[in-house]
Amino acid sequence: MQTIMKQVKILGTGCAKCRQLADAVKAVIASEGIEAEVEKVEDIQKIMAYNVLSTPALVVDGEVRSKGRVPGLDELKDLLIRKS
Amino acid sequence: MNSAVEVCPTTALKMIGEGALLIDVRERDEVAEASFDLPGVMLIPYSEFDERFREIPTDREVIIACNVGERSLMATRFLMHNGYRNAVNMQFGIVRWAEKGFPMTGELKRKTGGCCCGNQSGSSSSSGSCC
Repeated sequence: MQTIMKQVKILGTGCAKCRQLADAVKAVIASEGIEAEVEKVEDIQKIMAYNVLSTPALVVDGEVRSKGRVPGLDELKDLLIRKS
Repeated sequence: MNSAVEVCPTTALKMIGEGALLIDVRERDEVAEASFDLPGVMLIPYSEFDERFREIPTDREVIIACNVGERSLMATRFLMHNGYRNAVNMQFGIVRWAEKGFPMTGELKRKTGGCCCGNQSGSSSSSGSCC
């Protein structure tokens, strides 16, 4: 069975919380063996294209799954694994 | 996208007198400490702004304000992105408003910008440099 690579984006303008979310996402992806491509989006215009103002935000396969906070590791795992 | 239009507090006060709506995007705890003493100010905290911005009328001029003008600038750009043509940012926020002696209630303790990342509760010590 072919594994479909998840497209994960971290929206944030480079603040501490945004970096914290990026680190946490990478940690969960590594520990759970999730096939994912992670991209940090720091351009405010690109962030606003998701209609997000309160960062950091987590986007999985084009869907905004959290914003304005850094979810805990267990919640992050759910957010990353959940199907669109 | 074009740059956001920005006005100083003096121009903002004049525009409000002519019918513009002031929207305060500071968080609730900030507003509880000190607020604009004007009739009809709309409060939409920055942390809720992307969920609630459609409460803002599209048919009148609106002025977005925060503590020092950083979050409000982002909110103004967000409104422009969503098709609002009459939104302007109030530069330097309520801090400059207070310095000018314009109408307000309470005592302004926070002289720096809030952080536009996440919920603001407990993060008032931020310099605002995160955004």
